[in-house]
Amino acid sequence: MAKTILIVDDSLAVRQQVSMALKRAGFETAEASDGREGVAMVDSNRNIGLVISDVNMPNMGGLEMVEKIKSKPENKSLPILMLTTEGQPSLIKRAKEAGAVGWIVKPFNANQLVQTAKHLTGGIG
Amino acid sequence: MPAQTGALPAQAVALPAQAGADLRVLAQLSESNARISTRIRDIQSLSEREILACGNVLWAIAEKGRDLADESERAVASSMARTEEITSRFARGMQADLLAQETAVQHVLELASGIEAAIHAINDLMLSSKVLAVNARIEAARVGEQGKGFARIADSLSELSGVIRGASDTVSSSIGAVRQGLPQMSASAASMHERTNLFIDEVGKQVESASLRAGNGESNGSLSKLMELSNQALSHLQFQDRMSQNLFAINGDLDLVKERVRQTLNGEEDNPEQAESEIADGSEPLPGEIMLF
Repeated sequence: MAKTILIVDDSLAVRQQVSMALKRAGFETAEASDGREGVAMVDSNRNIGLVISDVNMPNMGGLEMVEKIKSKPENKSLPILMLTTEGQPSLIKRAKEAGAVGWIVKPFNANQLVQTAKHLTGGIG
Repeated sequence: MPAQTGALPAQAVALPAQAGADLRVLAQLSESNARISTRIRDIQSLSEREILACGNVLWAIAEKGRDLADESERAVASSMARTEEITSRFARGMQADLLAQETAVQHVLELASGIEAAIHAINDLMLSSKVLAVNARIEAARVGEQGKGFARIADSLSELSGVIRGASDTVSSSIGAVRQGLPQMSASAASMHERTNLFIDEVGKQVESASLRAGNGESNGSLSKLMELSNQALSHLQFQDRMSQNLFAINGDLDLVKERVRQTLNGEEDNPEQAESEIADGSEPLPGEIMLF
């Protein structure tokens, strides 16, 4: 079964663009519009192989989401990549400490994002 | 987005008149910040709404483009398959007809040869009849009055020989005409056969070429271009999203300013720890840059 990549972003346009790029590369995708929904989806879908998340979102931000997901032992190895307009080193530091594996500043390049997703998931299949 | 505070602190309104001009300026600054904050929220809300709307339209265009390309591909493939089937059926029928025609021509040529042999035999028989008629006349002359019967036989034989000769010449002439016409007919059939084969080959190549174009080439190229353009447009929307996020950040900064004004108005101490946390260490990554930890 192909690995599912969870895209967490409050912007529908960004979610769609990320999803379109990943689907064309052969990945399956799931979407959440905020951190709270993202945590719930990680809990309910064990096939998720990578999370790509925004930072500033309503209800629950991306960094808090990373902290909540990573607080569970079963999610220690789940890679979480931040995709955001933010570039403040203090936020990047916090993301790294929370357990995120990388940081991309929008706007992203679709091909580079796909290559990074393949690298982090070990391929498509 | 998280709710932003916009109201003035109650303490600012309750300030005693002697608090001084500086505090009144701070109160005015706080009110200005609240108004700016409201306007930014409006801009942010509008921006987000437009981003979503544009994103949805672009997504719909991309999806429709994909549907259109798929439908076009299916229609072309179906049309090509049908064309191939019709052409193939026509070609098979034409080849069978031409083969039958060639066989018929060959058969007629064989019949003509048979008829010619028969005419030769008739001619030989006619010659024999002439010889017989001459002999009958000689014999009739030799026996005189009693040979009149032989003379009539000789006349009849001559007459018969003439009739046979006339019929033989007519048939021979017809056979000659048929013999002249049949090779032309045969050559024409062979030419049609060759032309049909060329036609089948050409149609086959065209069908294959069109199928390739429909399946892998031009329509997919157009689709890729459409998807690329949609991606480019969506990339621009990412900048819009970045602008929206920056407005969100500005709003947060204004909240900090309001909080500092409130603290000043209330005579509260600064929170150096919080201020320290806002100080950035290191340089910010560039847009599009991927940092893996």
